[in-house]
Amino acid sequence: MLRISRRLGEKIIVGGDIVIEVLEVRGGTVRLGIDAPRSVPIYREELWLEVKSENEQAASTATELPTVTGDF
Amino acid sequence: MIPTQIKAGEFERLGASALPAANAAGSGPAAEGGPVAGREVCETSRFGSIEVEADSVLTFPEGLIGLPGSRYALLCTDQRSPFYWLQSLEDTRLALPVTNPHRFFGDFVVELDDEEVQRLGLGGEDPVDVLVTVTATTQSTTVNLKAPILVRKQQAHQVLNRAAGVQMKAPLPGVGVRAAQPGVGASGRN
Repeated sequence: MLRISRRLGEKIIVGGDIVIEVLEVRGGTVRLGIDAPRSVPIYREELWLEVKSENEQAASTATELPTVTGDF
Repeated sequence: MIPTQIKAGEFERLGASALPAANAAGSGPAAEGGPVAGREVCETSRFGSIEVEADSVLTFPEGLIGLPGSRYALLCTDQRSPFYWLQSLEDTRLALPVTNPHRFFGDFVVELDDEEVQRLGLGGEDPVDVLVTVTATTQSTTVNLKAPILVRKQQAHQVLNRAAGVQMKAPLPGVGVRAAQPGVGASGRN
């Protein structure tokens, strides 16, 4: 992992077309601005991990689809 | 920022390859005067070697979150079932059950930030269909309303729904997976 220190207002450029700017530093919270091409989705890590885990669980169904047993 | 609402569309717009492939009712809505659907063969661990209709192939430019690959086919194994398979065309063992959330949740909506709508090109006239993944165990069946899949012209994106109160594990009461029973076919309830 590359570790870089930035001050308020300073930026990081990733891969030539992703720009991350430190917008605000308040207490233990850093507010970041991110400029990236349309094709690049950006996620909060914990949400990304949660969705990944849910996708993996869904994909672990063997061969039987659920059946509707009740009246829906 | 006012979020944009995307209502779950009519699922029937999505093409799906019917299995077994001998079923002539085949691949979803017949487009009047539309192009003749091509087919491709794909290997699957669950269904063996199958043919899928071109209009059932969905491309995820960013893939499903956390999963490899970007091309999937929507498969229907039971015409009476609201559940379909999203089968990877690149990994034979990767398939997820999916369904139309509107079938179970009448007022379900997908809310996205304006920026996301623009990024994905969803603000236009083309209809957007919504699928959600289904996580089924013998104990419970849930759907992921928090990270639905939006489909427009066979391009798909799994997005994070900004609507309040949507769950990643939304229970589907009245739905279950039977414990494996040897020799029992997929037809019939309970």
